[in-house]
Amino acid sequence: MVPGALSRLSTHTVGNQVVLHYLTERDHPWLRSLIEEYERGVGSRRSDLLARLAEPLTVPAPKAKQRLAADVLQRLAEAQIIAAVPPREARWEVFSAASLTAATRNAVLEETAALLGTDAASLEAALFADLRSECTASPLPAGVSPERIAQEANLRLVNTWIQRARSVRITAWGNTRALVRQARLHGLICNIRRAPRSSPAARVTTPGGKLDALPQEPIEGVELEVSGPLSLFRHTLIYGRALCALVPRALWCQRFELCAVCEASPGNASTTLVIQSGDPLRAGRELKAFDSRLEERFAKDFRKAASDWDVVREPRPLESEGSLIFPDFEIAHRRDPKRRWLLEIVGFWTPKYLEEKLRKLRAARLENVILCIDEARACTDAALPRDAKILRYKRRIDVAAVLAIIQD
Amino acid sequence: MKLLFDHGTLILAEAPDLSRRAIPGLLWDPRVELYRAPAYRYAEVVEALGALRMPLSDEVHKTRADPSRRWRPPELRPYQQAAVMAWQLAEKRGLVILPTGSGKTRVAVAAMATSGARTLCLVPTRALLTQWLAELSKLYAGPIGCLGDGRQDLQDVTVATFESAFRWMPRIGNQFDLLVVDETHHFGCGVRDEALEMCIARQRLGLSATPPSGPPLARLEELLGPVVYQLGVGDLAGSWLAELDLVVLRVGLTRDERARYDADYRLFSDMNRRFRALHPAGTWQELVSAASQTAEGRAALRAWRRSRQLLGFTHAKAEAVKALLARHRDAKVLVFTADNAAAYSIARQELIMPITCEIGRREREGALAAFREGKLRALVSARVLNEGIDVPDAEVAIIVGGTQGEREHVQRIGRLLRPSPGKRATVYELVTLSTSEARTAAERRRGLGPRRALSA
Repeated sequence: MVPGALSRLSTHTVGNQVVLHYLTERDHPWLRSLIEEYERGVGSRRSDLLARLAEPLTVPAPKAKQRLAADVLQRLAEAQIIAAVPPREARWEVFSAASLTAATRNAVLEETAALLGTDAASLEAALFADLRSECTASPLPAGVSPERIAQEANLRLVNTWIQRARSVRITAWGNTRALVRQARLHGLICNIRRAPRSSPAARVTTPGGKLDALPQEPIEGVELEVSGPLSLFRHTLIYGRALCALVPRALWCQRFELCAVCEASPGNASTTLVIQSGDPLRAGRELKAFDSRLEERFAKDFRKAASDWDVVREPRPLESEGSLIFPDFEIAHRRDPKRRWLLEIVGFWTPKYLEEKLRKLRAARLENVILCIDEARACTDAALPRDAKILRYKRRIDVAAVLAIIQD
Repeated sequence: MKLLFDHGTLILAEAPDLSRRAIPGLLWDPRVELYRAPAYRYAEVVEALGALRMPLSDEVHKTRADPSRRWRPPELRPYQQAAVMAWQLAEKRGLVILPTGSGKTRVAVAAMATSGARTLCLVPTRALLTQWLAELSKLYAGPIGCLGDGRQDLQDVTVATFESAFRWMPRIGNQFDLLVVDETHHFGCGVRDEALEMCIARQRLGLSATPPSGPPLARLEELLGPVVYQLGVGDLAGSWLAELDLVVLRVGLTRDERARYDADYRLFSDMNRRFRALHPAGTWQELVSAASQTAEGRAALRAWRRSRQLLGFTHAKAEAVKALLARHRDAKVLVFTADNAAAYSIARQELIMPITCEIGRREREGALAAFREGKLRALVSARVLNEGIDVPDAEVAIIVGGTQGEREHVQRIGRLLRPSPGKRATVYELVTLSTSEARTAAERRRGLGPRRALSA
């Protein structure tokens, strides 16, 4: 996150809307100069280098942006420990020796250095060589470019504002599943509606550059209203941070717009922040194909055991009573397209929850659904709903039991 | 009606229209079409729902256990007994304010044993986490859970760092009936309060040596209960705490330091004077906010920071530290600085072990153990040793600089107050003459109550 003063300097407001001063291509010349300055300082003391990065560069740079970029740079580089003796050992030997004797400082250093097989100057240099403020600056990892620094800095700026939001509204098209998963993983309340279909022309390439492989037809979209449970009462940082985690996921959608109502400071008037596809932000890592080892193992076991069936991870969302359902798997027969099943793995559950879930599925006219419930995550011991295709599991979903249901 | 716990809140399902009933904290949540209340209002919500005389299924507690038989009640000093009794009489909710070294942890253990409830103890640092686990294991026979420092183990009695509690509370907030908060002055005005809001525990005990005042205290009283018992250093010094001599050493600046300090401070005081003329009652935050708007203001703030840094460790202070360490060659000495840079400078020059946030836990614990055993004669620290850490044998403290005012000062001096036979602690406070430090040093001494400082 960015300190409050810095985030204020990097924004202005138009009416009720906050406009972020993103680092863009225009900033690349001074960002390149900043990277060069950093590289020149590799090997010097980290804190000295940071102070140097705050000074004016050869290419003029806006001060607030330069501070932000310098902070991103130093976080990207790992600290390097260069010492003749492991610093921890050096500290223990020197300070305990100094405690036992009344000898002068130099005498203690020389005596201890001799014991450790080095000289006094090297020993003194090693004393704090592993501490963040005292260690030397190491080279930047490969692939650090002005563009990357700009995108990382912009993302931090965005997060500084979104963490002050009570809720966000996201309209997204394509690859939306990851967003919903992310929201639920963080305990956020996520109300989902179908958004108007997007025309192919309106699409923007995702960070993975997968657009070319997609068919040129309108994309399904969703509209998410996401907020933390406590946001009914007040803004909380714990759920503010959870909302921030949605941004890198949204960047994987083919197109999105995120609207957050943020409080600049507690009790102050709210301002609106809008970010959308095309904003110069750095996407998070692509989500793994599976949410858990359990899902991964099920897909693997099923493919091995049922050669007549295809298992599809994350099928299209289904509409029911105005909201959307995101099943975990679709199981389709290879030769008979009418034989299709949906499989959903349920987290914490109560019979009431399962009944409600089944009712929604029935309302959507979905009868071929298997719910897999973890015995360890039952919230009560009450009886399960009747007539439901419910599979209990412990650590592993029984593929044979799934096959027995779908082949029945 | 069914009451459930949901990510740090309570939800009421299958409820009739309650819009005209006064249920504390309960609001209609249109997102899920259920009633919802903050978890910390659990007891009030249950009581109010009970008064409706409608069937209520309370499914908030995930499990119920009775750890009460595993406790061995500790032996208490009279004032500790009084503190526990006061807390019980206040319906097991409230703040106990006792000076450092007077055995606050013992009061908490006694409260936990008396209550016999499933308990979550919150502590500010990993070092204190270890200390609490060790203390509890002497008096509790069952397994003790731990959240923090890489461990994630929940038991009937669990100790968690503030940071871990903040992250875990949406999931575990319904598993404890007693919440104990050590160094409770860290709460009341920030994001940490969220952890207290997301827990259902009705019984709550806050411990501190330096309670906040004003709105933060009001907020603490809402979340933990009122101050139920309070004693200061002066109440216990000489009886249950070690006797204390406070020596103020006034030092000067070199000519170069004076020139730099005066130039920087003038820049700041000009800006401050202009601000005060417009906003006589303006707070420090308001001043910083106003100054940040202009280049001139920002330069003045930078000058103020430079002047503070200079005062933190001057040439004269370095000389004084050297002389005092030589004078107390055979005593165990703690040196407190304003920042890590000053701590490292002293460590380098005087060859004494620094204890800072950058030093790893194991090394820190090793250094503290070596200090207790006499293998290290002195430690220097900026903030880590300020509170909580048990340093029983320190006899001399040198306060080179500080940034946190009265509370920090009281906590630091508290490090020396743990009693031992014949102990008389000495605190040296280094104050630079004719600078802003003289005023701030006088202000921070107020926290010690009526006590005469020796000047030198």
